[in-house]
Amino acid sequence: MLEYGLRRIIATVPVLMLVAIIVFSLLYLAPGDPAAVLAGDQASAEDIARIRASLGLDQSFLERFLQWGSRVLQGDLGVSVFSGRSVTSLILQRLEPTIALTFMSLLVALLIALPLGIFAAWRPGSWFDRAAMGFAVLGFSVPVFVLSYCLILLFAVKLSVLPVQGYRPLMDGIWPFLSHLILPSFTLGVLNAALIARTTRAAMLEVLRQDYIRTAQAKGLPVLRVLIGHALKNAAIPIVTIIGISFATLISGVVVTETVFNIPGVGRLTVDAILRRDYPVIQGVILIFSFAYVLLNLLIDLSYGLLDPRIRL
Amino acid sequence: MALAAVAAPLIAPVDPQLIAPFDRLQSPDARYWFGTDQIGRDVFSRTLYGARVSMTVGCLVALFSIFVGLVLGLLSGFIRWVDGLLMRVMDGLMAIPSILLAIALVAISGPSIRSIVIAITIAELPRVTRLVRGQVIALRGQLFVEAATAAGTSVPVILYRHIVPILLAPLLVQSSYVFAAAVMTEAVLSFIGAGVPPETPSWGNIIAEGRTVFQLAPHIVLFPSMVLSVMVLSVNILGDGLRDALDPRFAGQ
Repeated sequence: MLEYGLRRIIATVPVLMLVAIIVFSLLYLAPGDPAAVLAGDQASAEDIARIRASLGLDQSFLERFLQWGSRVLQGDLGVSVFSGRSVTSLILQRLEPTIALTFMSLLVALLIALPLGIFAAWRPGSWFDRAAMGFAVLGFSVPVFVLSYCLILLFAVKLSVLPVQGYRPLMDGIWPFLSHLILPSFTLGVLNAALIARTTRAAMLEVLRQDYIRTAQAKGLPVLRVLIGHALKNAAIPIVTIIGISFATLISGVVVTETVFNIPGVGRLTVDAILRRDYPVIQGVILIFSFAYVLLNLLIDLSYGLLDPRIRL
Repeated sequence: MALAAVAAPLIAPVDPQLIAPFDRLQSPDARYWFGTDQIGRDVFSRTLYGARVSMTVGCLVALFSIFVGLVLGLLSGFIRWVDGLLMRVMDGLMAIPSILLAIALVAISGPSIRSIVIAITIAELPRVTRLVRGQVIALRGQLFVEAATAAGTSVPVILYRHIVPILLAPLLVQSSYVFAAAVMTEAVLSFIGAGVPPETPSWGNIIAEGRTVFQLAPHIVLFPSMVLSVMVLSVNILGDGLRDALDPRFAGQ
């Protein structure tokens, strides 16, 4: 187990390095000369050259990458061109709503996807299976903002039971916090459930074919016990894997949902940065999201050892 | 849908940019099928023109990513050192959620249809390349390939005659999924303001512009949204159908 874990952790390092190189190249290729912008209209060519040297912009790609990389390792993601504040503090400040939204959406997705997938696989070809898989194709195809607006129209405008948009921190009390999160996290959760439900069904179908399932049924165990205790446990690895992969869709969903519902999270920060061409912020956000994605998938790889004792060897 | 997109200038009742100041925020009626927006432009015509953007982006991205993915996949399936290098680059690209990668690429190259096509292609490329590479490696060990090698057939000929024809079916299926993903990504990019410039109507930016008056006139958001969802849904169903029809494993079922 220890060896497996170490191997997985070490294998993650080059991936993180590659992500860093790609993200750095993006800013390196970004148009416009930051030195000329800082120097202003009146500056002479020498002034610009001096500022460029003081920023280290006259050095080679490799040197700049190494300097940038060592600053990133110390938690310094640079300074926002627009607000002049450090990118790290901007992201930290916006982190709470994003984490709350992501977590709630994942919860909704699992609550919908697991029952759908499990019961669809239990009776393949039944009306329930068809309905569940029809829902899954629909979930792949409806863009996040489309479902958001349909739900806003129904629950916030027509029925006025939930707020249209905005965000309240947990400090303001449980109900204001939850009521603002219900619509966005339901939107994201439903759409993400599609992929997870499909994978759960496929993994369960595979397991339900096994002899030990027939044995469990033959000895008269209740259906739920067989499905959850025996089958789901053995189908866990592909399901957990797809949850990790679907995190990428979840992130892009978060960016859109935060815009639609006006939630001041990291996703909104990204969109605002795009509109203002604030490259250091764009770069920082992409780096953070990608690292979170890679690390989450590392955690999932490590959890295989807990889910399946055979991997521990 | 494709026909409607090509024929948009013929079908559209009025110019999508035509501003009719007295007909602002009209609800759908016989004259304006999808109603009008806040400055009096016909939402139906704009949606039709938006279909052109979506079809263009979808087709080009599907075409480019399948072609480049095929070439890269074949290279890395047959040449060892290329494989190591390419797969590491693909690992890195795949670790960045594709929409963020596309956002960053469009942010650098400026909002235009060309840069969107390039950005989404790069974001979709790793999956196609991996698919091709996996198939090539599986096929390489098969007897008929070994027989061809033993008979003195050169590698390019083997690839062209024996490998590529087998890959066509899965690639066709994949291309429909890539098409659907590209249409969706384009809409999301345009929606958040990192897509086609606002002068060109696209489903994403029509919806984004309708946001501000959503409570007054939900039709501006709802009609393009419905068209977009139906479009992506039908392409995905087409992909599933193609897969079931072309994959021998599904044929018997």
